Amino acid sequence: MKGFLEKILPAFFILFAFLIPVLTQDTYYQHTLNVAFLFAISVYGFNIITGITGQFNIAHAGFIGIGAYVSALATTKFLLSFWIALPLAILVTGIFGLLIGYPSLRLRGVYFALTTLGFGEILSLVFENWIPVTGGPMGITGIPAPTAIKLPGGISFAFDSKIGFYYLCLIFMLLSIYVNRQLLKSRLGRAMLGVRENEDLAQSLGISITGTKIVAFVLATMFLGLCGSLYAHYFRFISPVSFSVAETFRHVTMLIVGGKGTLLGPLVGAFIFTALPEILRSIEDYQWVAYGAILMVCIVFLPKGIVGLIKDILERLSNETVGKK
Amino acid sequence: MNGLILGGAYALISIGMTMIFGIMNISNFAHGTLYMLGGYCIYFLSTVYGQSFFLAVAISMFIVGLVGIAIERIVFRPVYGGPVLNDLLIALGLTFFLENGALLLWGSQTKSVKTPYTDVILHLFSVSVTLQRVIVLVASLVLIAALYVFLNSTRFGKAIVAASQNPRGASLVGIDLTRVYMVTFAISSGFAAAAGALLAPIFYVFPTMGSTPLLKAFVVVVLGGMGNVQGAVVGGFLVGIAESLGGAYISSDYKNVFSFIILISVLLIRPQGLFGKSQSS
Amino acid sequence: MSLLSCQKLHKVFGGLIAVNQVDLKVEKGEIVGLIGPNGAGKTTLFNLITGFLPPTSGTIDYDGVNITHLPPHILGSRGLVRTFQKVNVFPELSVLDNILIGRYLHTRTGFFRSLLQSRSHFHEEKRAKDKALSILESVGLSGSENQQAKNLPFGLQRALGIGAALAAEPNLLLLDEPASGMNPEEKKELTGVIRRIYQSGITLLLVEHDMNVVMSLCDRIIVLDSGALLMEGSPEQVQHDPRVIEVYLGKGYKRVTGTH
Repeated sequence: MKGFLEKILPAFFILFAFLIPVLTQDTYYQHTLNVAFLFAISVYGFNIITGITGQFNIAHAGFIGIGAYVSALATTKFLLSFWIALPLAILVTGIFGLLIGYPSLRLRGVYFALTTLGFGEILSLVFENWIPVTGGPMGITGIPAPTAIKLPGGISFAFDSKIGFYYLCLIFMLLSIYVNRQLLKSRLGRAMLGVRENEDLAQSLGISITGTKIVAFVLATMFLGLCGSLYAHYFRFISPVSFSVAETFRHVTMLIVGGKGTLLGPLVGAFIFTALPEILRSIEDYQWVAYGAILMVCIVFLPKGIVGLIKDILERLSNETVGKK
Repeated sequence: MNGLILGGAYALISIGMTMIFGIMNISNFAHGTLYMLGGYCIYFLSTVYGQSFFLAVAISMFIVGLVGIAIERIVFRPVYGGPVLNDLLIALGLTFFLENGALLLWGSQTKSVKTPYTDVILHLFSVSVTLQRVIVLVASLVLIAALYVFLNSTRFGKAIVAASQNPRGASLVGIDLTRVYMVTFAISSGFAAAAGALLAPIFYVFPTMGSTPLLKAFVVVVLGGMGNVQGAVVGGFLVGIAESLGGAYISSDYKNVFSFIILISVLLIRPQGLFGKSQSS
Repeated sequence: MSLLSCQKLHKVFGGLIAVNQVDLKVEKGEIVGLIGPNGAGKTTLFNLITGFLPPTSGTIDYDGVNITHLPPHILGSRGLVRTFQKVNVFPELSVLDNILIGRYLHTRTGFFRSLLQSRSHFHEEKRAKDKALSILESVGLSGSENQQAKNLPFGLQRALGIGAALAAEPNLLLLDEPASGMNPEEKKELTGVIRRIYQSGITLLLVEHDMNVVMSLCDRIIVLDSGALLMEGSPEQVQHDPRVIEVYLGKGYKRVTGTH
């Protein structure tokens, strides 16, 4: 019964998700969902390096910025199609991930985090000051929406509307979840978990911790490149302030509250922090104070996040009903 | 000259951070907020209530020291001994909380702190500088010296040093680690507040004033060796001077980049800094 | 040719000589015990052999190949696996996952195949899981697959750690104080497990303080004192050697007339 439920429920939700634009035409909700999905993609990337592998990449938002700027420049300055800019952004961000990760991941714990802090700040400074390329504090405007896809037979998919973009985001978000899921079931994912839980033990069992961390890092940054590109082409405007170290902290909060290392945690976290403020606009002034308090409380009382908590509750319930010890 | 002054301030801020790291193995990402609180304290004490500057600095140090103790108990104690990630994250949460709390309570407008010394200009060694800045340097040196005396000559100070080198050994000989942690946090916060208060007349007071000093403090701490107080002092001055020179001769916009380049270079080449011990596996 | 051979292994920390020109051999199929009073340098020597500390001088050969400066994960891939005295498990993961991570060296499926959910991915996962379950049985942890490692009682955590090491299919297994912190019941269990491992053909080197465990299991015992080799020999020889007795000052170990 449980196995059946496990397969049916996700399928149901996915179907539901695809039908949402049919069920409601409200662009406000559409927009909220789009933003939530964008953040979810970012947080799933974060989950790969931080939730699963246990390394804190403070330059997280900076990498999203790389993806965004590459994609924006490719389409505005070089007039490439979005469909080329997107993989280009993913590739370039991944390369940066390799360049930055390779020397830094030899370091452990705090030292690695501080190195990424340094890189994150440098990225911010470059975004702000390299005016000929990045447009400085004014950023880049006029980024085009993805061009429509025309299939033979006259069917075309347009992405310049919120609904069009919704499907794009949804698909990539589902992809992110899928990658995370397969990762957790694979040999590589287990190695990453091993690195997180006990580096020395993992090493003695034949796992190269630096190698594993680098793979995780590059994989994560590729997701950030994806997120950045989508972000740029959705908002049609980017500026350095969205890619600062402070932004990283916002994404971290989503990861922690949702549940790091879990499969649904990033999605839940992203939803809570995008949907809620939209709805609770009236207390917007207090939101960051609340973030801070929530983050602190979560770490102490809910280290596995909301998803972890729910999982624990469900497990305890199922143990009781099945009559285990 | 400015480099020395900045250096003194950086040293003050970084000493606290390195002490906490050395003794409790916690990187206090919330340290910048203590600097900020120091700034606000002096704003209220000196501008609003008109206290004398030096007294106000002392009171600020005291108040923030108490806040530091509270933080240690409430925020950091639950995460001792857990994964390193948790310390970082909880400090982050605290930073959000305090910075935005300050924003709500006191508004986002930059506040300026006036003292009788900001307008007096001295001419020393062919450089002209405001008295305020000189005071910053002198006060930093005085505080650093005082700390030095405390750590080396008093019983409790030596206990702190012992605890930073060997926590288990220290507790075995009867040193109360809880009190050591408390006092360390108090000193750390007090010094950060001092830096904030001393620099407030020069750099103004606003809720996020602590974020850049926080980053600089990390650079200094890493450069000097995490946990090493002399390292923090030397590192503080080095970074302050490097930044001033870099800003003056190379580029003012990218001035902050120098600190970060130093940070990354040190971490990649010699993570233990100038004075620290090497990372053992 | 010995399976493991250390020549003039030497480690200096600052001014302190922790390991002093130690020669050590382990032959294939042996169980060797490494003992010595506290501070004798056993842990340091252990860390040198297993790649967690670089020696100041000296060489280490394993299976005929010089491994002196190789990192632990490469040693693991060559069949040299160790356990840890302190945290010996992956705490937040399940017991089964702990063992499965141990199977890392003997599974091959790349991430791409897992991504595509290819048949080889499924087959290998199933094989790994079966193997893991049988290892769990051999260390006495059947039925606990889904428990979180950190919730296991201490003795079982040790067993789990050994299980994970076994999953890596070592030729030479180094155990770091496997009996420390255990009660007599658990020590008995442990001795049985170690004996079974030895009988399955794996060579063992263990560092241990509990003399009963050491004497009853080991073919040969190496005694270290102040970083240098004091003597080595059979359990009988070691127990009767006046130098060894002096170095321990009769610190509470019972003579065990054990044979195995």
